[in-house]
Amino acid sequence: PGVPTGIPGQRDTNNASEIAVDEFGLPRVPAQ
Amino acid sequence: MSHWFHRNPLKATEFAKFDLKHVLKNEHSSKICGELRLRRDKFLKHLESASSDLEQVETEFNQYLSLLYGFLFDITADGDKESKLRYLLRPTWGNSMIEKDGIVLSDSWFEALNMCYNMALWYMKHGAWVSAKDEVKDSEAKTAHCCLKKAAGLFEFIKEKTDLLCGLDDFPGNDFNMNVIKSYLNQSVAEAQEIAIARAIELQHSPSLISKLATETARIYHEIDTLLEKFNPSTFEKWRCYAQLKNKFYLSYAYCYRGEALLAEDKCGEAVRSCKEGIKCYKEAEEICVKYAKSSGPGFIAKPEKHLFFRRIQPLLERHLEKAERENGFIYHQIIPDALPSLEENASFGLAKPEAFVYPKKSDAWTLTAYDAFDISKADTPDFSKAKKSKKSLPTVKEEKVYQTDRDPKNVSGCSVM
Repeated sequence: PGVPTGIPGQRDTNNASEIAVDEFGLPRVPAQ
Repeated sequence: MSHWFHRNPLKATEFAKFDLKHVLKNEHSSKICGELRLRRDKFLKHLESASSDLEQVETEFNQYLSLLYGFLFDITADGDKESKLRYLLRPTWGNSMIEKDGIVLSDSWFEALNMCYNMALWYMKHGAWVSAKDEVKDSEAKTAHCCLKKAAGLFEFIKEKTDLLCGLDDFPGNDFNMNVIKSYLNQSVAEAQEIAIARAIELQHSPSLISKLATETARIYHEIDTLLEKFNPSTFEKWRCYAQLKNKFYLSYAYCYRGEALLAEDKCGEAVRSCKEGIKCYKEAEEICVKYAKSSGPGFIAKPEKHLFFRRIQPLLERHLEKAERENGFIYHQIIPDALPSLEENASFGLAKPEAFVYPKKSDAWTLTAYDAFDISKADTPDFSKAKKSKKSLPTVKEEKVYQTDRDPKNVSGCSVM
């Protein structure tokens, strides 16, 4: 946890503001 | 999403002549008033169809407001100093909910804010029209989402400026009542989030994210219902029912996806409880749909119960419930709690924010010479009194009926907006 993977949108951080989002405000990569 | 969104009528208005007679010293001021008259009429005609071209409507809206600028702000000063012309115009405007009573108020801000209101209502209608096509492309889903956020931004602007208007409290349920403005603002935000929820389902985002977003959306609809509860029920019942049914419907989604998330965490007992509550909320939403269809009040009615996005949730809840009960019976043997699993509201994604509206800059027509060409000493005594009821009743705006598909979408969410 907290270690960046370098993949945009990947849930690799606890900080939501760091995750890339689309025009709808959703993560670009769905986090399961 | 055909027939998915409830829409209230546009605001009616009387034709504005901008006939300021002796106040107009020369062709500079006459030209501005003549152009305002033409642009206003043309713009309002375009609003009558939800399918009008978005870019054109936005351009005409901005052009009209930039031409009205000199009636609101002093051209000779920087900033927001009040115009000497502010109280010269005397527009008559109706309301989206209390339709018959026209209100007259000598204030250019009354004109500007009503125009903003109608534009916001049109954005909501255009968004609904885009989402009701047979097939909605990705770019169109973005347009609908964007229209709703722009509508919310306009309502926020109106909310901040409403204090400028005087005497409207004498008209209960008028559009500038703070609870009515907040209801529209909330509805625009909630509907934008509905689009985000459908997209989240379609893109298979985590059940936890979908549940949180549905919880937050249900909460907003509950707030709308509360904001409208003190108004005359014969006028506001339909709008309230819409908010109530959407509240229950999104609670059923929230419990459904919460149940799925709990199941994934091997919390079968809680998952069973969550799915049962989801089914209960769905049944309540169905009952309110029946009440909504028969309810009184203005508005272009939605038919949510006919929509696949609505119908798909019950089988989904039953499937999750069956799975949770089966696994609990075979493996976990957990007690089904009486207490409901808590719904999480702190959605980190998909929440819609209003797109801030900034009043357009002044038109090039507003030169110092043009501003000087209005001689207010020649005006009839400006009317600083509060809003009055118009002697004439305003005809309802003849809004064009636009096509809404009856076909079921062929995708996961059952929602054509995605």
